[in-house]
Amino acid sequence: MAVETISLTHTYAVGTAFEFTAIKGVTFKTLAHEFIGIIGHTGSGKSTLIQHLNKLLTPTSGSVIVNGFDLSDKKMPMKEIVKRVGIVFQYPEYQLFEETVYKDIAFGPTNLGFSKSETDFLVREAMDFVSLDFEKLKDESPFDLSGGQKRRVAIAGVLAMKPQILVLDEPASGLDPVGREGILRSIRRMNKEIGISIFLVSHNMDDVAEYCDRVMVFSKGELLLFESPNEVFAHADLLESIGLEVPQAKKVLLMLKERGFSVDASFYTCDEAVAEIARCLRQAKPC
Amino acid sequence: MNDITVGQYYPVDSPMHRLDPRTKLKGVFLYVMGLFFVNNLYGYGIAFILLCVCVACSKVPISYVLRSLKPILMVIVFTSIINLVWTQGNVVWQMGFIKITDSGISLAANMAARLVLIITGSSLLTLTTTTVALTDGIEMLLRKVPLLSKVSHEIGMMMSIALSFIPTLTEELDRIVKAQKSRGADFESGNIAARAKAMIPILVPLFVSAIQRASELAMAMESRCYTGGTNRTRMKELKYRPADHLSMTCLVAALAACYFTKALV
Ligand SMILES: Nc1ncnc2c1ncn2[C@@H]1O[C@H](COP(=O)(O)OP(=O)(O)OP(=O)(O)O)[C@@H](O)[C@H]1O
Ligand SMILES: [Mg+2]
Repeated sequence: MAVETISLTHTYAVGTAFEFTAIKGVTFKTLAHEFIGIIGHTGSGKSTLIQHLNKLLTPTSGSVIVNGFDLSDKKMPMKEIVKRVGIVFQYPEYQLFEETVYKDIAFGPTNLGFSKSETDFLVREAMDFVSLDFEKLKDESPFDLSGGQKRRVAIAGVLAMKPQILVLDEPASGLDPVGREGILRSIRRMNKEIGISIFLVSHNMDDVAEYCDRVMVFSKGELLLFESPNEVFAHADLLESIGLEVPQAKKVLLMLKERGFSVDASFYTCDEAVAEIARCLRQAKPC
Repeated sequence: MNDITVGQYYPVDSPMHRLDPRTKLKGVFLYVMGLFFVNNLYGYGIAFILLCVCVACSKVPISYVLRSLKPILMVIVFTSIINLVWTQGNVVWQMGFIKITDSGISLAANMAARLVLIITGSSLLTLTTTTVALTDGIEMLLRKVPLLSKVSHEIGMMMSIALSFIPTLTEELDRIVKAQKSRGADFESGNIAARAKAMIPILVPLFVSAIQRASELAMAMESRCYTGGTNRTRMKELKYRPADHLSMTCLVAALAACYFTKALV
């Protein structure tokens, strides 16, 4: 599903001493099935933006259009919106509340009015997608699981609602390297196999470089760039000036280039960088 | 969610803000007590002027001070009406079974005036005193109370921890509500039973995280060898200054004046 915003602005606590405009005049248009990355310094308005995508926040001015429907339209009930746009918040494990993993994941689909057998199918499918063993874990209490497993259960709880747009606010923060890769891989699979559009908020440039089709760069509530990772990471100086950096792999290439190696520094994923360095070394060393 | 403002401190620098928290606490206590001895217009006049002077000294905008009245406006209106129609006395106006008496009018006016002055006065305390200073002040004052002096530090500590948890929990609540709404939870429709049941997905995570936070804090305090009580010194000692003595004297004088207005009527 495509998402569009038109000069979207949000001001918190209007009319008090604490008034603060968190996002200003944000306009963009995404395509269906796209994997979008959202990066920006802490406090730049990323979480504020994503809460507009399922009407948890209403714009102070401007509008949000999801799949051609203006969300400010009163005729669109909240249930219809959350059915299409699923949001996984920062540290989603804090939203678990049921006695068993199964019941917790089934909460969303049940609210949306799916039947028992449909819900059962959806729960199995969602658990499978985030690599949780259905038979082993369905009757466990979610509070007895490890941090990474809780995170997966929470993500499965949103996935089970079959959203066509999935928004994730730092889904991998605070996990070990294996855990973070597992979760990000699952997200990519949802994108590639079922065609869910993804919005991924991340502080990790390597993840963004690896997974995203296009990247939004926010600074102080404004959308500075919205381009492919290749183009975004070409603006190394700009990124640095707003408190961000380029992926590690690209950093290495840039440093090598600075020291006089003839590498092409436009690559930004780890695999590409390795290949490029190997090529350069082979070329430099006369056999 | 942002309407919940307990300890709604208004950060400016004013003579009122600089007063010792103990002076302000004692002042509010005396003022509230004093109001119960006032029963005539002159007395309320003096009490009102006293409050106005304090507000002016505090540099807090009038709109902020009045905002504290909003939540109890209904209470004031309700008690006034009850007093008005339920009090016996000389009937001055009658319609059907509703009788309004002279003593009803005076009782209603008395109560309303008292409530407004009490609420505004005590909210001025929280508007001009940080929660840290407030709990410090309470702790120091409790040391002088015979039975409570032994546990005054513990009480002060408990209060400051409880107060510092309020904004954190409010934020947490907001986050959980948003997360469950995104999962299709519906808090607005259905009968009372359905709505109470809809609270479970909010309350369970909220309690879990509150208990978790509390135990983490306890652990952090213990691992730094925290022991409350007798031999603890503090970085900022509370000290009375001339301004404190001066304002206390003025307050007592004004309240005495309020009391003796009785002689006028
Ligand atoms: N409920 C609120 N009331 C008032 N101000 C808020 C509220 N929520 C966020 N803000 C402010 O809006 C700004 C943007 O916040 P937001 O949460 O969108 O940032 P973010 O980009 O998600 O940051 P992070 O990377 O730390 O999660 C911040 O300065 C924050 O203080
Ligand atoms: Mg955020």
